Amino acid sequence: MKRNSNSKSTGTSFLEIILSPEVSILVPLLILVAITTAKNPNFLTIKNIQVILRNLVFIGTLAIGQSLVIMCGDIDLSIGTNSTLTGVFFGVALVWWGLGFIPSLLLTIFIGLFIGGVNAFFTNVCKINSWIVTMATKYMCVGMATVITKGYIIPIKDWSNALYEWSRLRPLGGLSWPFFLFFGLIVIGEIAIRFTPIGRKIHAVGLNANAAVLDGINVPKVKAMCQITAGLMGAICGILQVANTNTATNAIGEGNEFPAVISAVIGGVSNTGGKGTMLGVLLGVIMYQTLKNCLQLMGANNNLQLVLLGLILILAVYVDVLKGKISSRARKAVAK
Amino acid sequence: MRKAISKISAKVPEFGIIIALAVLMILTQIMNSNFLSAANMTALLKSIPFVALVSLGSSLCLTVASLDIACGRIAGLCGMVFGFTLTIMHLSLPVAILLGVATGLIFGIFHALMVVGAGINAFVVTMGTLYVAGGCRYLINHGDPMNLPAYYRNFSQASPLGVSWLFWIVVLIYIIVGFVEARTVFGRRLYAVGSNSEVAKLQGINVKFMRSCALILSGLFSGMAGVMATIDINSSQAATGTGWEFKAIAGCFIGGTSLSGGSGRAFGVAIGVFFVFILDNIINMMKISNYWSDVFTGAVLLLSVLFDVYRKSRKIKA
Repeated sequence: MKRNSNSKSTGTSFLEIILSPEVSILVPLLILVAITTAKNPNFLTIKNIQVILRNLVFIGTLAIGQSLVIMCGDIDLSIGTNSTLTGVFFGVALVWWGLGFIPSLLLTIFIGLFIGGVNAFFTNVCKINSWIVTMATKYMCVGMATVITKGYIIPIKDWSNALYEWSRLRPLGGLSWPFFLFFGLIVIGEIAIRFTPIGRKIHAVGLNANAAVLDGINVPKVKAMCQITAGLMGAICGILQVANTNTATNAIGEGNEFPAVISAVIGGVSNTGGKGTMLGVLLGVIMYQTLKNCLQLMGANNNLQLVLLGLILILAVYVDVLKGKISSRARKAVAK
Repeated sequence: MRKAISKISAKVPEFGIIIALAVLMILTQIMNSNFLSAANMTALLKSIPFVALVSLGSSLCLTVASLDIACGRIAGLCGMVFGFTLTIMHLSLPVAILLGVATGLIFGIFHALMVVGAGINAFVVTMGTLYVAGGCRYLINHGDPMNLPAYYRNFSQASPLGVSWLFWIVVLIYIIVGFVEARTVFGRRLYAVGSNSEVAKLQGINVKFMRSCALILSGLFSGMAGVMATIDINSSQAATGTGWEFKAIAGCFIGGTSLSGGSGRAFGVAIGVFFVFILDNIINMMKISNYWSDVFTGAVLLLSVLFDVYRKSRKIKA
């Protein structure tokens, strides 16, 4: 809560702790867990929790990139199909082109960075709204994935099963390597956001881009950096998805941008920018995946899940707006 | 020559896009002589009205600097509600139509409450309702298609003046909206709110009311489009509406509506939507592989917005 420390008021500090995203997610999360456990005792078993933590990696990686972009006041709708395209490229490079592991990996990461770069170019140089740019690149990514695979599913086992077996390893506490990779990214992101000038710049740009310009911050550069990082996250997610299913296909990843947005928003990343921490994103992703798991255990079908997720997204943002109103009112009261 | 062009484009801002459309159509006609045949054109015009109606709602939202990306899926849901009330609950036709359209209206009112009332970003709100409506479509009758009684075919298959009744209904709605936009106080206020809401407020315009109106109208049009699409194919399909929002918004941009608000008119939107559909049709006609169609549409959207940005930058210079 470093950014609030300049409010100088002891009276609001308790309120701020309660209202901080990290705490305010835990309450509904605990209620959710309690209800589901009461209905289905299988929920709160170590095995199920491990499953939740292993499965959140994909949305989680996307949510890291997405939250960085949202913090700057932009959005990246292409991040889901970015993972589709990069995954397909990875598979094609490994199996069809036989490039070998390291070159394929580098190529894939380059593609991810390139997509982020295209988004950054059109939003920052051509000054087109990021929603429209990324909506267009979203379609282009999924289209390219279809063009490259021609609709075929590429089995990675034709190259080797090593990647698949790696993703199935459980080095510590029944959690997979991809999970630790994701967790590492969260830690790096948290450090970058909280303790480095870059993090402060990102928050400043999101809060008020015009003021940030006056502060001497290169706003397009900060925004572009976040968008390119989001592209990188899309590539990492694409590779992890390929490792997880041992196939590369154009059918996986599309639509994952919305859960990524939802996780980020639930985690307290404000859509008006300027707010959010990676710890919050982690909790948001856990919340999202737990919710999904709960709904599945309760036997809700896919479409009901969609409906509930939509409602929860609106609710989460509404609560965010309410929280803003409450804390500003409290601050005013203290000032008086 | 140059003066003449600038004179025309001052009166008809869609001038450039109409020329582009004409060139594109002539080229396609040269490549494939079936393109301008009566059969192809009738099929094209019959498939347009539903997305066109949704697009009109989107353009109203964009005009007041708001956004509705849930419109397509809401239309799909309204079609399902209409089919369900008519075929499963056996309500009369007017009641079923009313309920279908009312569903869209309710979504519109909800958008207005959330966006204007609570002050949440329109994009996030409509993304939420996109999920809600998209999921609800498949919850009605388990997402199974519901076929309307066969005698509705008489209406949907009838072709007054070569195209379906539904087409002419949408044309009528376009004319009404175009008239309201150009000739009434309400229309002028829509543009005022979109181009600068602060100034509009100082002029005594109720900005919140105008924004709400646009969002609610968009919901209403979505509802009507859903019901009409159901009548057109004589069956409620749960997948109806997926991807419509993309075509609708692309149509708006091509037709001169800008994301920053304050511009765009019904005639332009009609041209824009026609352009999007013609392009789809051309992809088929030129026998371009289906795999490329997504890449193509994405590129067209990007180009159309670039065009919009370019036009605006020129206007500022002038």
